Amino acid sequence: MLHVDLDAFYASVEVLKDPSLAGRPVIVGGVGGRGVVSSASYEAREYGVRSAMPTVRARRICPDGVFVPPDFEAYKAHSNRFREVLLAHTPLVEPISLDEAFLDVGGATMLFGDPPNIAARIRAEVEREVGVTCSVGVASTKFVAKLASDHCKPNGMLVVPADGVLAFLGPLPVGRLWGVGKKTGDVLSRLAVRTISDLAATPEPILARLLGAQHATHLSQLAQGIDDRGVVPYEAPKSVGNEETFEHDVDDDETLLRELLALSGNVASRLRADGYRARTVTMKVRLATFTTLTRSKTMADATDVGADLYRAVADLYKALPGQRRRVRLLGVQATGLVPAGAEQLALLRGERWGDVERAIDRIEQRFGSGSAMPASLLDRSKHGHQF
Amino acid sequence: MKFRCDRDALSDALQTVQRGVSSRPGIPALTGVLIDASDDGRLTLTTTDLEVSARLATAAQVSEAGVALVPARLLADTVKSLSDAPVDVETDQSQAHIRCAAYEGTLRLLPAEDFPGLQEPSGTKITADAGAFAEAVHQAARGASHDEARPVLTGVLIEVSREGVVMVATDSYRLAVRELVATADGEGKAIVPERALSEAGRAAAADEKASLEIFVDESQVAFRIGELTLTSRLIEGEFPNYRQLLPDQHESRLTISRQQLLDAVSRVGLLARDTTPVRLEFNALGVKLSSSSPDLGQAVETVEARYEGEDLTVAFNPQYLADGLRAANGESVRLDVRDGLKPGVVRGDGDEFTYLVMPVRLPAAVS
Repeated sequence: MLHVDLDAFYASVEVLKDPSLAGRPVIVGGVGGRGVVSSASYEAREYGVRSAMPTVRARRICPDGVFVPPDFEAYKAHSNRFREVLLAHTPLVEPISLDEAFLDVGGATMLFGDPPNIAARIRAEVEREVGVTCSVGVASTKFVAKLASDHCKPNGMLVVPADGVLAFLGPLPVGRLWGVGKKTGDVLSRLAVRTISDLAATPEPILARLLGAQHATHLSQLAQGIDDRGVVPYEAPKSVGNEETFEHDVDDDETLLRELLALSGNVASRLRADGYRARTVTMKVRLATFTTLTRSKTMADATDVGADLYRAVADLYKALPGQRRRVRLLGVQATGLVPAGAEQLALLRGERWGDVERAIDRIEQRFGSGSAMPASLLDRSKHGHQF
Repeated sequence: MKFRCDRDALSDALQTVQRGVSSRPGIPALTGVLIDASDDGRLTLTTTDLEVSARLATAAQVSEAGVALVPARLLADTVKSLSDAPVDVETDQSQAHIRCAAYEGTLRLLPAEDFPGLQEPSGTKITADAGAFAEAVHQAARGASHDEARPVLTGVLIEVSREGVVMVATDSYRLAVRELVATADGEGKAIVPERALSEAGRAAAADEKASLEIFVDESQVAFRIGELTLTSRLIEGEFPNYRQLLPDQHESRLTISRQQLLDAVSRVGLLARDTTPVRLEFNALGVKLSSSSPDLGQAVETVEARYEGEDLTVAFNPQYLADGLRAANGESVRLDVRDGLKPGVVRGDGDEFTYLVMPVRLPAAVS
C-alpha cells in the first residue's frame, strides 16, 4: 500500500506558474477579508502559516508572504498529470483529493519491483511530469502508509515494514489516528492515553464504555496497525448529464432553446470541474405524451465549452420533426469523455466562448453559483427544479 | 466509331483521365469514359464525377468518327494489359470491340446520352510554369482540412492578381501559404477542392515541361496542362482572412537543418499522443525535443542549431510540425516562435512558402 501526497501542492503549482516565487513564502488562499489559507509553501510554514488559518492572521505573522488567490484550473490540470503518473503503475489508484492518493501496488511488483522501488519510481516521475515533489509512505495498510507519508514530508519517502508497524505507530500522538478528533482526543487524554502505544495498551472494553463499542473496536485495531480497508479505484466518469423537468409542459421553442443553453452550460462547467472534454453530446426531449426522443451528435473536436455543446444540441433540436411539441423534460448529456490534458490550439477562433466560460467559473468560485451567466438566461423564470 | 491507336499512348491517356472517374458509382454513366473520335485524327477522352472532370486529347488514326461511352476502369485495365501492338477499337450500337495482336474482346457500352455536358474553360486566365505549379500545390494543399463539417476549409484558396497567384489552405490548426509566379489577365479568388487541385498538381508534376493555363470563373476552375484539361467546381463560401493570421514580425528564430529537425520530430513524436504533444525547448544551443506518455514511455533529442531569442518551450502536434517541415524546401528551415500560445512559423530557403502551426497548450502552462 502506498500513500502519495504532493508537497504544498497549490503553493508549488503557483511557483511553477511564476518561477520568481521560488524560495519565497507563498500562501494560497482567499485573499478577501474572511479568506482562509488553502496551502502554504514550506518557506511560509516556517513562519507558522498553516492551512485553514485566516488569511488576515497569516498576513500578520508572515508579512513578507506572497498571497495568491487559488487557481483551481491549474491545480486540476496538474492533478490530472499526477493521476496519469500513478495510473501508469497500477490501475488500483484511489484519489483522496487533488494532491493525494492511495495505491495498491501488490499486483505491480512483477513489473516494477518491490513497493519501495515503485515508490521511488513514482517520486521521480511525479517530479518530472508534474513538476512538484511528493512524499510517499509505504506500508501494508492504508492508514500506516498515510501516517508514514505525513512523517517524511516534504519530498521524502518512508517504508514501514509489517514488523515495524508497532514501533512506528507507538510514539505518535493518538490525534494522528483517523477518527480521533477533538472530542475523542479529550476522552482519551482523561484516560492518560496520549500516544498510539498507550491506546494499544488500553483494554478495548474500557474504551468501549466511553466511546461506544464500534468506535472503540475501530480505534484499538488501528492502534495495533490493523486496517483491512482496500484501495477503491477511481473510475473515470463515462458521461456527464443534466436534465430538467418542467413544472408545466413547455411548447415554446425560444424557452426550450434557452433551457438547452442553461443545461449545456451546466454540463460544460461540470466537465471543466472534472477535467474532461466530451466528443459526443446527446439531447433528450420527453414530450407531454411521455414519448422520449434522443438525438446525438459527435463533434470534430472534444469540448468542455457550453457554447459548443449548445450549438450541437440546438441543431439537434431544430432538426426534430414537427412543430410546437409540448415538452415535459429536456436533457443534455455529454459522452465520449477524454481527459482535458493538453489542448491543440486553433488559428481560427471566431468565438472565444471557452475563455468566457472559464472566467465565469472563476467568478462563480468567488461569488457563488449563478453570479455570472449568459445574458439570455438572466430573465429565465424558474420552470421547474433540476436534478 | 473506329480508330487505331498506339497501345502506350491510349493506355497513358486512359490512366490520366481516371482522375475524373467517380468512385461512388451512383450514376452508371459517371463510371464511363466518353471517347470522341473526330475526322481530324483527334481522340478526346472525357470523364467526370460531377465535381471534377478530366478531358484529354491524343492522336489516333480515325477511320470512322463517332462518340461512345465505355466503362472507364475496365477499358483502362484492358488496354494496359494488352501486348505492345496497335490497338483497334470499333463500336457498334451496344458494344466496343477491342483488338490487339491476337486479343479480341468486347465491352458493353454505357448510355452516352446520360453523360453530362461539360462547360468550356472560361474566365480569368493564368499562365504558369507546370513544374513550379506542381511544387506550389504540393506545399499548399497539405494544409487543407478533411472535415466536411467546414466545407470551405476542405478547399485551397487561389488568389489571383497581376503579380501572381497565392495558394492558401488551412484546417484551422495550421495554415500553408504559397506564392507562385504567374501571369494573369485579371484578378479573382476561388476556393478549389483540395482533391481537384492535388490532381492538377500531380498531372503537372508528371508533365513538367508542359504549358500550364488556369481558368477561373465564378463557378468552376479549369487547369489545362498540355493536352489535359481538369475542371472542378468551386467551393462556395468565404475563406478565412488569412492575412491577419500571418505574424508581421518574429521574436525568436531557430535556423536549423531541415532534415535533422524533421527526423527528430518524427522520432520523438512516436511517443506523443493527443494529450501529450512533443515539447520543443529553445535555447542558445538549439532545440531540445521531448515527449512522454506515462503509459508508453519517453524520448528526448537535442538538435544543435542557431537560435536567436529568449529561452522558450512550445509544444506541437508532431504530425502538424512534420508536415510543414516536409513541405518546406531547402537544406535549412527557419522556425519562428513567439510563446506557447502563438503560432510557430516555418519557412524554407525562400520566402514563397509560409507554414503556420498552432501549438498545443500544455495543462496550465507547465513549462
